[in-house]
Amino acid sequence: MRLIRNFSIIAHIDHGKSTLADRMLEMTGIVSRREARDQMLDSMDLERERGITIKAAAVRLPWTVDGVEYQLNLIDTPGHVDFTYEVSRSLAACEGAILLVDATQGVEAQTVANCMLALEANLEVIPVLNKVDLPTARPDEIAEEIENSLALDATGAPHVSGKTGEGVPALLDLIVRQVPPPKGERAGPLRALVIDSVYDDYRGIVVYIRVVDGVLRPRDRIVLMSTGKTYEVTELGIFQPREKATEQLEAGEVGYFWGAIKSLEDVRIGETVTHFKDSGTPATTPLPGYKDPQPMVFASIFPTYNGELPQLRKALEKLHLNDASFTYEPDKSEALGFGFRCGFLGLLHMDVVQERLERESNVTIVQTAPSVSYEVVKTGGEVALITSPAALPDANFIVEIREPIVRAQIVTPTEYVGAMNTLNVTKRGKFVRQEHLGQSRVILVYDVPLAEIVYDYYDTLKSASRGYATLSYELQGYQASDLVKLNVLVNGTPVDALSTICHRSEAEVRGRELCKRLREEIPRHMFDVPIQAAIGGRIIARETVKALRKDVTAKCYGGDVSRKRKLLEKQKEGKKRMKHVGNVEIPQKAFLAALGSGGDDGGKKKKK
Amino acid sequence: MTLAPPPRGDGAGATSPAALYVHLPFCARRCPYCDFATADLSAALEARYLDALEAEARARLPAGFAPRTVYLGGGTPAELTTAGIARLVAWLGPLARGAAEVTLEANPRTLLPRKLRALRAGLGVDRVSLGAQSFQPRLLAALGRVHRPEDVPRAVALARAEGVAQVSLDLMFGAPGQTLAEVDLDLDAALALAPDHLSVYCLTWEEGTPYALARDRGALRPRSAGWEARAYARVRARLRAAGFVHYEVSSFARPGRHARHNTVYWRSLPFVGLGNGAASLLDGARLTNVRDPAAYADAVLTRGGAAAVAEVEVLPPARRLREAAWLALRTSHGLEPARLRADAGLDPAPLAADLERLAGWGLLARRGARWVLTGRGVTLADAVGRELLREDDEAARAEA
Repeated sequence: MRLIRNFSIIAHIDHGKSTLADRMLEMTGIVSRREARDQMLDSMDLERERGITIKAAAVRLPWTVDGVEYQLNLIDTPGHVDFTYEVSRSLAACEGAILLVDATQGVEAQTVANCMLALEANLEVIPVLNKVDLPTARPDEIAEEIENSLALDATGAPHVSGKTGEGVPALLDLIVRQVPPPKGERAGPLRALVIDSVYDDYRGIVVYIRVVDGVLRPRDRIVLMSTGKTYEVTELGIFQPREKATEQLEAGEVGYFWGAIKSLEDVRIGETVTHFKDSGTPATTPLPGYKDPQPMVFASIFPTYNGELPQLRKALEKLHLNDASFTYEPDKSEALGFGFRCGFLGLLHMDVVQERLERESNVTIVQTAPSVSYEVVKTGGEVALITSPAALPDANFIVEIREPIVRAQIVTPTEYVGAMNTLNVTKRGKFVRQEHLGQSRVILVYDVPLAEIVYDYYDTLKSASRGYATLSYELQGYQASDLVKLNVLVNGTPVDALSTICHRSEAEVRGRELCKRLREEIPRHMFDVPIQAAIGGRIIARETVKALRKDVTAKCYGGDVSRKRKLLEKQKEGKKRMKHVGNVEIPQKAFLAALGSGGDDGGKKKKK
Repeated sequence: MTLAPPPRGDGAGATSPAALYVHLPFCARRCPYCDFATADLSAALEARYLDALEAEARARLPAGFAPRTVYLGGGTPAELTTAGIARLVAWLGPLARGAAEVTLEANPRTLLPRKLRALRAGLGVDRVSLGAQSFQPRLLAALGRVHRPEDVPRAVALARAEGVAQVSLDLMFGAPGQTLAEVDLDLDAALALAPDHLSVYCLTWEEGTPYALARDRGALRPRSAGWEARAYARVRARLRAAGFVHYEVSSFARPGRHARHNTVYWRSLPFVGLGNGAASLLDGARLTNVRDPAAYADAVLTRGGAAAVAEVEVLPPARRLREAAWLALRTSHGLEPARLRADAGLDPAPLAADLERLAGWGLLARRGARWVLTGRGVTLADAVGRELLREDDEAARAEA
């Protein structure tokens, strides 16, 4: 066990984590440069394309220092705020972390957030400056930033280049020297932490674990401590970097096992694995820190063509097998027909799921703009969790509505501090603190309603800072807030699919925006169509789609009849895709535009 | 504001075709907004075409066929060569001479005394429809017309002098840049010629025509729907004031002078069309002939007259009903259930809910047993048509 070093690399997005990992794989000789596809550890196409790591993976690297061969286990972590919990579980499997900072960019919001997680997990954190081969690298300045913002000693921080490999062997040496070996009891009852799991058509669920105490062998019967479910281990092994079966996994080691586990939901990240009583002594207490993943952001997904509902259901089922952290349940919208209300860990998670759905299922989907979940305290004292505005009970039965609040950390050049403060004032952010990061940058901490984040906070933040500010956030909890349901009436009929929940102070502005956008998208009818926004019975905004002025074919003789009829039928067919609310035909586009946040790109928002 | 009372009925039989359309595709030149099946003049093609036309007539017209109306359309039928006219008269003459209305479409500039005389003598042409379009040189140029404003009075005078009983003028509004004052000027000029009938069309931007392409390039800017609505209202008001009956979307007639032939189309009565691109309605089926003139002639001359038909569309009764209702509503007579049953054997009962809904929007009104478009309904006749042509509402609603 003293020859084992378990570590992670933590970094802001695009700071070069995966490239560095590839170089480590290469330099420890477990893959040749030729076979090293770029970013070996990220196995999904999507990850490669977006340059982000979604699923954690682990790989065993042999490394010799002073004639002694050590076993280095590199445990990869997801690189985005949505996956904070997964990051924390990956980190819990390590004794050390490399804090990788881009020497041309400096400390960013996720650098801070991830570093905090590593420090909370009591890891040995080694700051490392990456991309030192670039002419714009400012290693000394960035080292000072690290010291100021994270209180880590960065004077001797190794300089590396993931691209050229410069400094990587020295870094591996440093890992052996500085990261403590695992502490655990090889002879004690088995306790292994689940750091990830993936679905495989042939083997079922493959579970990635870090063994903390004891030894796991093939054919052992195991228990998952949070559910009490038992399974038999068919095979276990290590990653090098592909799976390689071994005879055992013992305390301190990282590897995988599988054995007739059918559903990812049965093996949640953070779960503790121990022996069933006939295979060894069961542990009495699980490893700390397990949480059920809680979807925070909700959006509905509909097939563009109603007939594709069964395919969409199948695709969601399959995706859910691979990603238990997203939830889905049947949903029906008067606007968009039958579909599914899906819960996601965050916005990136939502985008990833949506893209995988379209890519892997061939179903074209329509996705509504995201919203958050609300806790509603009813007059009877009962607390309900509401994930869509349509589910909000009548105002008479509501004592209070609570909304999720996140702690947002913004790292920004000082010249945008004013703009960031303005942003947060308009987005109902509460100032928490401000810290200087070197001479030219600042960390701003605000508590902000998650609803604002999913609305247009991120886009506004980026444009107000010309793209320089970075954001990370973490859920703080629910807080009572003066929230109202904003109803939309089209031609006098309330359209639930268009209603939203928003803060009372923003209702009028939102209502006006909503009506304006709908006016643009709803085609002229044979009569005026009023569009109104209302809170309860009070109309707060109104627009009118004026009636058609003229719509008549001049010539309709013998040969024209068929042609004109077909034309009208075709136009009618086009309208069939529209949704009928009373006598008004509303195109899907109108729903998406209305549900969309600030921008004009409708419900589909791309975030990174 | 509603459509005027209906013209008198024609009493046409429901089963056998009573109308004959003969298509003569030749034009001196093609107008840039036109998407009709036309061809450039060529003596050789004309001869082949006329052979084909006769062959088609022999193959497709029922024995003892005696059309009540004959319509020579195009193209520009009056631009046939003298030999061509003789060729046409030889077989069409006996059929046409028994008809109550024989219409000839003509271009004001190319309608020549000798030809008109021959067509009148040979076919009994008693109605001439002149494509005047506008009396403003600027607009005629914009519309790519070959004639000049002064050609129209000359052609009208010619027709009258030759004893043609009815003269109809086509006018067009909505050309890019046209003003309401110019619409008035055109109406003044047309009314000064005392026509029996006026067809006033709003310019249609047919996809694929040079006009539409120029619009797509941004070179031509259509008048707004609001402008078109104002111009159309102006046309209707002025022609009514001048004693015309507005009896169909674009058709205005002095009392009793409506186009009987066209009324057949709008009542969904059977008719036969001969020639390239011509349509027929026979036994509830809509037939369409080969569109290209040369291809049409080849098909008929090599494979026989029946090969003229390129497309047969048999509509199920529910769709036929909706089509018939839409067409009927475009006329001032409107939708009359009893007549629909008698003419086409269709029962309009399934349309009741749609009709009531449209009435609720102020687009339809009841006139005794008939449904007619209101003034606003006429302006939105296509939107009304779309509502009616929704043939599978129930399925659509169930889906939603």
